Amino acid sequence: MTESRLWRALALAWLIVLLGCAGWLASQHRQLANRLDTDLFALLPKNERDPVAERAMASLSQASERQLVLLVGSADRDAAAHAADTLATGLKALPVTPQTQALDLDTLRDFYAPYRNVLFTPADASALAQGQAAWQARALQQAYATVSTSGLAWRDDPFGTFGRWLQGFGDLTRVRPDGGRLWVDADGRHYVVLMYTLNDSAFSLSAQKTVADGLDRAIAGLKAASPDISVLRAGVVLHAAKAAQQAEQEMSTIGIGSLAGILLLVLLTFRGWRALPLVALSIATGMTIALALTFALYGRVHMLTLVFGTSLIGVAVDYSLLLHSTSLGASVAAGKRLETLLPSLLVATLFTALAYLCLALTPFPGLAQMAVFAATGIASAWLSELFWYPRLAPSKLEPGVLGTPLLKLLARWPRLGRRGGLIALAVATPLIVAGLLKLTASDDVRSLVSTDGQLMKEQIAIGKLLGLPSPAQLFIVSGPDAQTVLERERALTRQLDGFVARGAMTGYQSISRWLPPISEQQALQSGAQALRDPALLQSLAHDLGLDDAWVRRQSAAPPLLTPEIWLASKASLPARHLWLGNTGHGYASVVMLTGLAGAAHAEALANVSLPGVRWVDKPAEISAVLDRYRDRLALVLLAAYVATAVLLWRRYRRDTWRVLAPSLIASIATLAIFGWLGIPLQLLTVLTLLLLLGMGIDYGIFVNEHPGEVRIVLAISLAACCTLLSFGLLAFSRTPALATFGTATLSGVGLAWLIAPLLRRPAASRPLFQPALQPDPPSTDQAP
Amino acid sequence: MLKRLLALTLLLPALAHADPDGKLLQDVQKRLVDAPVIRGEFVQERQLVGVKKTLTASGHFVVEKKRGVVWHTVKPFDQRLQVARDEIVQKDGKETLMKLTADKEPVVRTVGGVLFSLFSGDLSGLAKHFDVKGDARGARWNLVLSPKDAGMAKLIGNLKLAGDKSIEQVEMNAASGDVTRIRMSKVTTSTQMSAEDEADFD
Repeated sequence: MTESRLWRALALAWLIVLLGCAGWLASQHRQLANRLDTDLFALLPKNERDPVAERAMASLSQASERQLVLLVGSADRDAAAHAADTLATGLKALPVTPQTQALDLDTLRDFYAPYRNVLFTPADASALAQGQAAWQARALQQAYATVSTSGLAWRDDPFGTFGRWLQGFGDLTRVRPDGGRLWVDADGRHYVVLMYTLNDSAFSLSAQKTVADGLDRAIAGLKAASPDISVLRAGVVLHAAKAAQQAEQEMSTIGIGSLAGILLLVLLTFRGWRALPLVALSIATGMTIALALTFALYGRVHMLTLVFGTSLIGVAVDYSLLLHSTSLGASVAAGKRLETLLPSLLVATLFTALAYLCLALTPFPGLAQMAVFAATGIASAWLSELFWYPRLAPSKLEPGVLGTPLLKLLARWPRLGRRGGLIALAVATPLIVAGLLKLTASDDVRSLVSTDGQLMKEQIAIGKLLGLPSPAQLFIVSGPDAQTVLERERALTRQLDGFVARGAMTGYQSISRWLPPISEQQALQSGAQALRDPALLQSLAHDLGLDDAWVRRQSAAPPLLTPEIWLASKASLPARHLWLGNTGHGYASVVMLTGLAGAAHAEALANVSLPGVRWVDKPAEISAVLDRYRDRLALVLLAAYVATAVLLWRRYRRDTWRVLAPSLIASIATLAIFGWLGIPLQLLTVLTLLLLLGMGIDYGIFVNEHPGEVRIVLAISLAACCTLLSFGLLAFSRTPALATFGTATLSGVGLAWLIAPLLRRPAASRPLFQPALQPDPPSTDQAP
Repeated sequence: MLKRLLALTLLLPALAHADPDGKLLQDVQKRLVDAPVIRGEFVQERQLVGVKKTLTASGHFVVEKKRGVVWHTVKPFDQRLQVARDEIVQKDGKETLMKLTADKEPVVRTVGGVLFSLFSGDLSGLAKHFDVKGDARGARWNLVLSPKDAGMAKLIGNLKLAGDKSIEQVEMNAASGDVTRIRMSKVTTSTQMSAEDEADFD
């Protein structure tokens, strides 16, 4: 079969595919480098049930992803100012643009002034019901008052209502301008606030690195000059740069580590270099085609996919190692050997690839991408063996320095009989049960995403100092049209005022504060009729000496502020991120909370029940999704075992358990080990157990297909070693998700490999290609 | 010749009055009486844009270095303005009309600081926010303060101060065109507040 024309053509075609993919990657490598994601939250599940909430989250993160905020603090005000200027100068060369304060009271005053007679504070609005005498007295007091706060002349705000309404914006930010700088004070320290926006050019990984490194250098220089200066940083770009740097480090550690280990293992096990080309080709094909296909499929590839993908090096070599091992002292042509092994190879690959594809069953876009990468990589490596092994493999290989003693050693691998099995079971069961009893479950978001502790601390400090709202816990208000949304928001904010009064939070940001619903404006328009009463105005004009034109102007009905006018103006800039507009499911807006105190209050907020108002708690939601999927995948895992058992039954009958048991025992033991180590059970652990079923079954199949064949034991041992090497290195990843994968695979695959030969079929089967290797090979490897 | 003379007279005020190093303020500060408690009376005239009448009010004030300033208008309305470093409260008799605190309204600290400096005669704080010009050589000193900060300039056009041992006149020219002139008189000092002063502060 493998000598047929078709086969040769396929081998050539596969080569062309590989070269094509490699060429495409090489020609595009600059562009592709810019299409690498570092967003830490890409791993997190999308909100499948609520596209509006998803959109809200996306738009909020978009609004903030280009922001860089720095706080330069000192106990001495002048020192802080000086340090901030030095730092700002140091950052001039970076691809960032300094931002002035987002909230400019003058802009607001100028924009809102024409609508001042429909804009009232709640206190003034309720005071509208008071008689005209009271308002006349107020106007006179206002005229005689020493200070006016609105910035308008008295005649334009005679009752002072607009000035008071405008003052209400004061508590939106704790930042205040002073001497051309923005300041915030806390705990006896003065901080200068520096705000930057990343330039468009700064969206590549290298530019992010430039910004992060440049900032680090500038801060280091500043601190060297004046040690009492503190600098706080916040910005998505810093996390991204950190994550990218970490991912790059881990990729090179895992990549170089597993490559070096595997090559060394191959060189030592097989005499000469002739085993190397196919091993190298397996890795190259697996990685190249997986990378090309993932890019082609997703457009963007996440750095973590690459880190995870790098660990596939250890799996991709499995098939070539298997084939090479069986050719030790072989007498049959490479093609024939492949044909003999093909059924078990096919079954093994299928199981592994399917297990990896199970990752795609989760709602995590990051994991789905990893699944595609892994399954493609494994399938490609396998196809390479299928097409090229007959062409490239040496017809026979000799054991190398390590190969000969290994074969001797592995030949003595014991087989557990009934008695041995019972003893082992008796010893292991209490340990395993005790471990399982210790196992706890936890699906915290933090178990998925790693963030730099220091950066996180600084970011939280900045959030507190500036009174920034939480981006993860908020309300979404929706309705069929803009005005309904604004009215529903008002109903919500009335309840939120109660929460603020009770100290559950310090405040909230809502669009209706900037843009009161038309119905409310109309109510105020008619409610404020008293202030436009010509009799009142005439009397004021008479008391103070104003002309008739003033009376006419003041008594005219004020215009109403519409969303269109507001959105088109600069005055909406500070709050525009709260407006989602037409989402395709009607209109929606976001209400954000500041200084939310404690989880109990979050629960109370979750119970707010108003039409069109939804509480979104991203961390809680993600934990719930993780929890749900953990249970779901546990069932999938059980079903997978049952289905696999049924499939295996057709071939192995009463020995089915021998094939399945290594995976099963290794899985249970891994859970017990996690229990002993205090690592909680997570969704990812369950996923790893699925992978373990796929990989562990390989060992079971090979060992039981050819029991007593020491070269097969050598093959699975080599394969297991390579897998352990890669995933073992992955266990050291600083991304908790990958580390969990690594640890669980390390323990599971290690155990499955150790257990599989123990449970092999007792019958000495017919030898594979030639009489089984004797303990002393030199006499037999010269066979015809 | 005439031209040169004209140029010289135009230049002179600029040469004489620029105060880049705050020396002018220091000179004025030295002349001002310093005491823990300062009190006095005031007459305030407001000329509002579009309003024909000059609005005259009068009352008294108390400055206590630590607690701040009470600006108590008696005629034509009983109204109090209390200014501390980080709070401004406006009261109509006992009822609070307006209360601005610095932690909620960041602008308050700036505005409050300026008002505090102004009413308490602590001029050193003013240099931070204003460009200062003026003359302190004659029998009476006078100062013109223009805001440095663009945002503040949109509220306050300039401040004019004049006096001798105490600040006697303050003129606030709001950017909107409203003008407030205050004349202070009968300034006395003491080391402690009287019961009457205490009542003004509560």
